[in-house]
Amino acid sequence: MAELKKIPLIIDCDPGVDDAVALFMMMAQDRYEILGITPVNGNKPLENSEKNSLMLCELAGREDIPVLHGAHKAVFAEGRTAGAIHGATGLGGVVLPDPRKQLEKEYAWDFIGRKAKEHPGELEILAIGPLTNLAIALLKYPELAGQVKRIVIMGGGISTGNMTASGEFNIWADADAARIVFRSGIPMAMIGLEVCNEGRIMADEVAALKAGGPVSRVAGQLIGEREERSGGKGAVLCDALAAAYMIDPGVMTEVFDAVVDVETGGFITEGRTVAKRIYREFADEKANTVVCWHIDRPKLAEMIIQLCKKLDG
Amino acid sequence: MVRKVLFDCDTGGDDATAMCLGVASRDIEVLGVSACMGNLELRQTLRNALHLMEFLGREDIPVAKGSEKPLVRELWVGDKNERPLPIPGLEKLKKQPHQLDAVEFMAKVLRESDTKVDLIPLAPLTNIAKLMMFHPDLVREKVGNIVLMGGAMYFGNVTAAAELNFYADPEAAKCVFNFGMPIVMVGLEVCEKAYLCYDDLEKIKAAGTKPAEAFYNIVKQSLDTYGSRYAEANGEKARVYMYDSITVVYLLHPEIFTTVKAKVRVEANSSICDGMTVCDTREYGVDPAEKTTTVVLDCDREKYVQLVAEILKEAK
Repeated sequence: MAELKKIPLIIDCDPGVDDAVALFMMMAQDRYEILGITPVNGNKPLENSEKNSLMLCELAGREDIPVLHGAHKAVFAEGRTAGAIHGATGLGGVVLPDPRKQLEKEYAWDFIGRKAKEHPGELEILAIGPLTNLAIALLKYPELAGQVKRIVIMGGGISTGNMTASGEFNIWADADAARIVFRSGIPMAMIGLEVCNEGRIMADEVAALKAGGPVSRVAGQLIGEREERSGGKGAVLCDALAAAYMIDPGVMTEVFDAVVDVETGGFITEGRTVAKRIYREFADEKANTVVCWHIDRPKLAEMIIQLCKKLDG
Repeated sequence: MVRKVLFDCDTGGDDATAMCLGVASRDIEVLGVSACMGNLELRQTLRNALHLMEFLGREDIPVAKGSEKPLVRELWVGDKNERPLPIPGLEKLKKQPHQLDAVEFMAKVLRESDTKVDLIPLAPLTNIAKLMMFHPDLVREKVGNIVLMGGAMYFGNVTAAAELNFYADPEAAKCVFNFGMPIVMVGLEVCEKAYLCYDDLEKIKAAGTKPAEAFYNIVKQSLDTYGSRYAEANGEKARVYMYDSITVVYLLHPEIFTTVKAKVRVEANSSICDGMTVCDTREYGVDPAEKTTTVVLDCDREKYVQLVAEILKEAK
């Protein structure tokens, strides 16, 4: 049987505890071919995002994946980070050997522009950090909007934020960029805080990871540190849900179509993702986003465990 | 214990259904009604409130004229068409508005009451914000519960972010939620759970009272006019929402509702979120002592319909 052509994919990220798990999942699956990783200033400063991306590729035995040079601040505004939420380096208490692998000289946005042109109508992007690199790419290469097939993001919340009452970190950290991306016309899928708060990883699942090989153990430690702080509620692992949805959309048990836009100003709503459901009042409008709403939690956990196991060989 | 209640309304069919319940209930004494612009222009909301009280045979309940426009913005109303209530007697309407304006009328009622008075705001919060700004001590001393209809925790209706009442006057809503008193917020989530369809109409009519007749006529007309829009879009039975009616059912029977505590603030200075109720329910990052709003999210619909029918039956 002829091998199916893999879907070209770029992963834009700010590793990040949950980014690391998402990267493991994507490096293990075989539906997509990862053309490159584009780190961005986010959970931690850009330097951490870049270095962590290189180290995680090496740990997973995927030195072949190019890691590009990303944006060090928000597209228009100053850069924001998540403080100590992801530990000192972005990978919690996990210490990995310094990378031998080098960062590419090319900028993230030029790489995205080039790959979209090489794979018109096919390229998909998994974006699990602030959307700065993608916004710069759209500003520099407006034709990108017609070339990218889909962007799956972890970001936003319809009813809540985390950094503020309205702002989820990835959107809040660069709301201008998020608005550019949501208004680009590229079909989006959004994994927001509602579903993320549902898709928690529990202690027994952490234990299963810790009993595995080197990649599983690192995933187990990263998730375990969060699980321990959760008071038994389980670790919230936002980015892993976005990876899971790309690999198997069936992991989501409810999604809906919406027009999503982003508040860039506001006294109390900066970074809010605002969603119109496409039925009833707004039935005439065309959706730009599939909003993921509920998840099969045990299936998510099983996917994480099995994909890490696969990387461990 | 009979609760004393003031209604502030932009009548509006669903406002009228709330007042029908208030007038019918033997556990509620309606001390007065104030009118505000909102669904309709003030001219119409005032006339409709007077008409309803006259139809219900409650000419004794004062109806006061309130705000014609928002606190600081230009006037915006939901509907500029003529929208009389679907009840008879408009052409021979005799009842006149109270001589005081809405704010001073409410202040007088509060001052003269020896016990606390519950506020049921069902319109843009313009009148209520003025009452709180002009008579803060009186409000803190004499207002009991504030159970209002407005806002949304998830999705707006006029815009993606904002529900109609607060879209119409975001500054007023901001003022009220910052006043510092606990509020029960009946937002769009619970309103859409407590829908009414044709199957429910007979139960309402069977109550056999004047308030039941008005309630029935309003829901029937609304179903005939708007009910199919939802049905066609979703392949379901025709349904309508009597948003404001839920406040009264909540006041009397909070046990049939599901709620969450939140720190609620209203956006009035944004690009796309003006009028949005930001409901902070986070575990971290917000002082639990500031979660003073009870956001009503869900209800047992069958019980809601049953209670509506029972309350309507209580009318003398």
